[in-house]
Amino acid sequence: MLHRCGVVILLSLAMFALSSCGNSSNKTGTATAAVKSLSVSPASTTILMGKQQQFSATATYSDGSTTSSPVGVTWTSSNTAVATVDNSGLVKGVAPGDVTISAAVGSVNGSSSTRIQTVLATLDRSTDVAGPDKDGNGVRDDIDQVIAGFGLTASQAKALTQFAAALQVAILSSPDKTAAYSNAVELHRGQECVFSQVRADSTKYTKQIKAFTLNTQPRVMAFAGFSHNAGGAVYPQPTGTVCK
Amino acid sequence: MLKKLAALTVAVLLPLSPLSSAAQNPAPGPGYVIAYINGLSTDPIGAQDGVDALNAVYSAQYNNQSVSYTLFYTPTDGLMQDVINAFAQRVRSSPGLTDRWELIWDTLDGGGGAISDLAIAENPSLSSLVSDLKTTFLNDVSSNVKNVNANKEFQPAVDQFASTLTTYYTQQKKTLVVAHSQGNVYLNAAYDAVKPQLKTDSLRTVAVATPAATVRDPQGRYVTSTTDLVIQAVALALGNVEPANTDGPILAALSSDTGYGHKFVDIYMNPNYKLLSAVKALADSNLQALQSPPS
Repeated sequence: MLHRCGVVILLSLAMFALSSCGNSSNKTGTATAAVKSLSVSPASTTILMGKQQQFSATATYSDGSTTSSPVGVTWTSSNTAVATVDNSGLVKGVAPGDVTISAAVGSVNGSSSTRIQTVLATLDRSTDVAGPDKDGNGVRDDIDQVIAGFGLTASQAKALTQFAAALQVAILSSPDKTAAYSNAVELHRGQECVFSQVRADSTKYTKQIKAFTLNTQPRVMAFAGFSHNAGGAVYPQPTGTVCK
Repeated sequence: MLKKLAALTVAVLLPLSPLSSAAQNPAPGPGYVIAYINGLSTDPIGAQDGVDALNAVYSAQYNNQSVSYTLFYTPTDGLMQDVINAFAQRVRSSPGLTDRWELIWDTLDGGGGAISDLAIAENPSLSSLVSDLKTTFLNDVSSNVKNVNANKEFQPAVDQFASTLTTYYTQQKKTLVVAHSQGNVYLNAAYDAVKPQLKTDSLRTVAVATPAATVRDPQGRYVTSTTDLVIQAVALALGNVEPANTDGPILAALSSDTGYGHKFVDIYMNPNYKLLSAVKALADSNLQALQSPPS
């Protein structure tokens, strides 16, 4: 048993020694190879307010070798009111604005142009009610992205997609009471599906999906028309399997 | 063949009609129906949230009998259109203003989506627009409540609700109707139409934040928050309104994000405030008192 362990340790040491010979290894810097330049990745990016993104720094040495995450790298933000960065290069969007995220090893610097924006800046504002739906799932592509950005489980995201699709149908359907009634029933079914999957926070998400979907005058007017046509009716609580 | 096709078409389309759907659910037999009538400027999504809030309190069983839930969705009033018009006006008169129509939903929904916070973070000048929208909302509440009876869709909706209450009676259901805000005007009219026909005490009501002068609870009970600024505004404008009778949250009422202390789900059904206890006590009392319709 001890013999086997000894072999494993020797093999591990040998592998470590071999891996240390490559150009892209974790180089510590030597007296003969100084850091010549430093690049930050991503070079430019956009982060949503409140979200985080991991940045990385790559050092190029005077002997031409490179290494990621060089020892001694420090990170700074040009405006911590807009974005903060920690010692590992994890950047967090604090408020909308433009900021430079810099990495440094000694006197050598690299930087990234970073924009922080709210989710509102990502929404489609085309003049038509429908908006783009390239994947054909019945939900606008930007709303798909919003749902994905919530960081929910797959079943919770699916429930919100069902609700968003029902809302989209409601604003695109013919403006009459019969269509509005059946669309309201499906919308309520979507709501109940979200409630069954997300529980206490369900209204927070449905309110946001509604506001982000109904974000232009034609869309607001279409929804007001739908609400008007759905009014004056009785809607039994959806029962049975509410999620599709 | 044509007759068969016509019959088939009718059979397929019939479930889509409001009347038939109302009759489909609940199943006949003993049990309870808890119906909710929404208030001012509530869209179908917000109205259904009210049903869910009641469902969260009473669930599927009460006194070992089934409970089913129904939304009586009132015709939309002019308040939503007023806020839409105010926003459109502001966008037209401020060419530099970002066309952010999603902002109106914080006003109409009473917050919760935090959309205004996002927009103001991006463009601080939008804060005055948000403030203006909420002022429009509060200013126009009274006139919309005052004119609800004049809405040409008022009586058809009352007839629809009354017809559904009669259906519940014939299905031997004990029915509790909870109405919020302007929904009480519809509730009173529907109740008055149905009550004389009932041979047992099988229909009771819970009036929440009522802008009406009277309620239909046999003991005159209702729940209105002392910090409900919308009802206070209506009382100032209309005069004859049931006075506030239950302590409400002061800080929440000052925030327009809660619809000025008026929202059904965010204020009256919020477990953090004693208003929920008051609503539940009144609902419990009436549920206990309900009698089955004759078989």
